[in-house]
Amino acid sequence: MTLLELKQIKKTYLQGKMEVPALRGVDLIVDKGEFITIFGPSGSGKTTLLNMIGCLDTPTDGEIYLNGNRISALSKKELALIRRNNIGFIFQSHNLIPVLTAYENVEFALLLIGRLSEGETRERVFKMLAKVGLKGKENRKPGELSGGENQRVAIARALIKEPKLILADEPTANLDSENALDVIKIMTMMNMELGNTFIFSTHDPQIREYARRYINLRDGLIFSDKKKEQ
Amino acid sequence: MFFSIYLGLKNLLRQKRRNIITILVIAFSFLGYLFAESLMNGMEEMSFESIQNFETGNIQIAEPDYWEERDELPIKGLVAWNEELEGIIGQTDGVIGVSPELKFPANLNNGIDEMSIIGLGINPKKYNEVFQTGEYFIEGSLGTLNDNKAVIGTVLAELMDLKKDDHIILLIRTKEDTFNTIDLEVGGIIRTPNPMLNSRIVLMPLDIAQRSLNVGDMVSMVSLKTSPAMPEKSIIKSLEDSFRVKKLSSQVYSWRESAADVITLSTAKKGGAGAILSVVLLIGIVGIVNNIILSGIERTAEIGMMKALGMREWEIVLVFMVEAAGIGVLGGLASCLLGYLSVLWLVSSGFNVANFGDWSQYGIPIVDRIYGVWNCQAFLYIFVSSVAVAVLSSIWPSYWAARKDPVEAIYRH
Ligand SMILES: Nc1ncnc2c1ncn2[C@@H]1O[C@H](COP(=O)(O)OP(=O)(O)OP(=O)(O)O)[C@@H](O)[C@H]1O
Ligand SMILES: [Mg+2]
Repeated sequence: MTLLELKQIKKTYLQGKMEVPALRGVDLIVDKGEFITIFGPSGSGKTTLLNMIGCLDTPTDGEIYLNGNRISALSKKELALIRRNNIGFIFQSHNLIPVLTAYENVEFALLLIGRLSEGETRERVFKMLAKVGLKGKENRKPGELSGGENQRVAIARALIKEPKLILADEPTANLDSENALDVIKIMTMMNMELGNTFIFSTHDPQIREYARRYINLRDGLIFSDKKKEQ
Repeated sequence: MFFSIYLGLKNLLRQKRRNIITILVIAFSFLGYLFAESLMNGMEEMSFESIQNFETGNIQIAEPDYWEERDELPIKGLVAWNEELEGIIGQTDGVIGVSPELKFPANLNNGIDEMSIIGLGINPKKYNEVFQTGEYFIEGSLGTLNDNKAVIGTVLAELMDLKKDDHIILLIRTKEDTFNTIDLEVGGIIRTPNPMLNSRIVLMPLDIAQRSLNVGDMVSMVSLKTSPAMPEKSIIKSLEDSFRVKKLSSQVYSWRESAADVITLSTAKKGGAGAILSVVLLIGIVGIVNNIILSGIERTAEIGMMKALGMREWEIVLVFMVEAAGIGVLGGLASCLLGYLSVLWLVSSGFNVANFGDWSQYGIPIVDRIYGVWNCQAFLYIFVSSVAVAVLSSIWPSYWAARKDPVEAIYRH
């Protein structure tokens, strides 16, 4: 079942008077439950593409459908609500709020949706933190956790609201290889268990191997789009 | 929304040093206001007391014609000081002292120099019932004011090089406008908290003044001291009623009418307080705006993340505003605490104005120290202003911080 559809997405940045084409017409269809990596040289447009899909930015041209709804022409406020309810983000740096505990940082994403009771929220956050391997560290603040642990909190934060789509822009770039592997394994596990769709970008071939679909971007265009043979 | 408030409060603990500095900036500037306010109120209160205790009493009785011209000290439009008037006043409830006075312009001559002064004929005993001057003798006492004795202030004594028992001559004009002189001997020297008495007045027995001016039993005015337990207005009212019944033309005046200069000063005081307050508020605004802008810059990536997670602009604005409000509350509390300590000092040990020159030339009848007064309202006002300033001035920078484009905020940081 189609979750996401991109039709001829173009994005041109203006740098002074120069037009910089970051995406030059990307067509893409993503089904529910896919586990996709986007790779390609620096400047090929990976971040730009993820930002378009994530409703953080709007394309210069082309259309994006999420769950059948056209999102490429929505207002800032409407985009914020779509992000809040449908999309989870994992960034290269965790961007956790340093004054809040791991528990509170995760809870925050859930409170924004505000659909659950206090008890349910609590249970869900504890479960999620346990799943990413942070049992017993719920009350630590980001300053008291390692980089890998913080990135796991960020994953938990992205997943806690069970979004249909999770976008991760170089989620392991700041981690050592051991922690990077842990993180991608957790992401794989979540994808299997919960069935959310993951799209992540990476420069790391070892991490890339965990994906089941590989999209290679070059110069703002999809150069190749392959599925892992099973 | 609750999350925004919670996060805002948590963020208070974040840049501790910066927040403490902002709190202290607010606290000290608002403290300045509290201090100045207390000082100015103290000055006003003491000025009023000084006028009542040394110049006018609480109520004065005079002929309306005289009252109009009273600054020129005319020897016209005088009040007859007789048993009838004394009786009426004496029977009025709330009057606890009555002092008839004859005030006239004179030139004081010490044999070498001459200086224009104000002669004041009084009845020492009655004068003492109304005024506090009796407690401020350096030499002699009010009791020595008999026969042809005079009492002068230290400043005048110094200016005219006079000591106790020196002889002086007052050159005056009588009621008929003829010249006359009064020979007097300095019987006492006073140093009061009232500059006017110290420098320009020569006290002498009323009968000598009356005889020399040829005015019979007339006086310029009668000063009354009233019981603090009774409202001044009602005493004035009953005196006026009695005068009407007896068909006397004299009028009754509150001391406030004589204190016009000082009252003008109190209006200026309010202006001054307003000016100080606006500076203080400006400092508060700058402190808060600066604080939030710095926080906004430092937390750029975090704001980007919040927006990516779907937090709305107003929810982020609220986070910053709550933090600002917290700073405002703490700043307000700190300024009230510091204000309490400094006003306490001002009330108990006072502010020495003698070091700052002669204030009497500005019409402030205070010589030594100004003591502060408590004004609880000012404290409440400062607290509320501190919070209000913090909240209001945080709106714009909070909005500025919350408006950041999420992509810019996350990636180009
Ligand atoms: N805000 C911007 N203004 C101008 N040009 C931009 C902006 N953002 C991206 N670009 C340009 O668009 C192109 C694609 O950038 P993008 O960040 O998507 O690349 P990327 O594949 O994520 O690279 P990297 O692997 O280095 O992260 C680049 O040429 C970049 O310089
Ligand atoms: Mg990138």
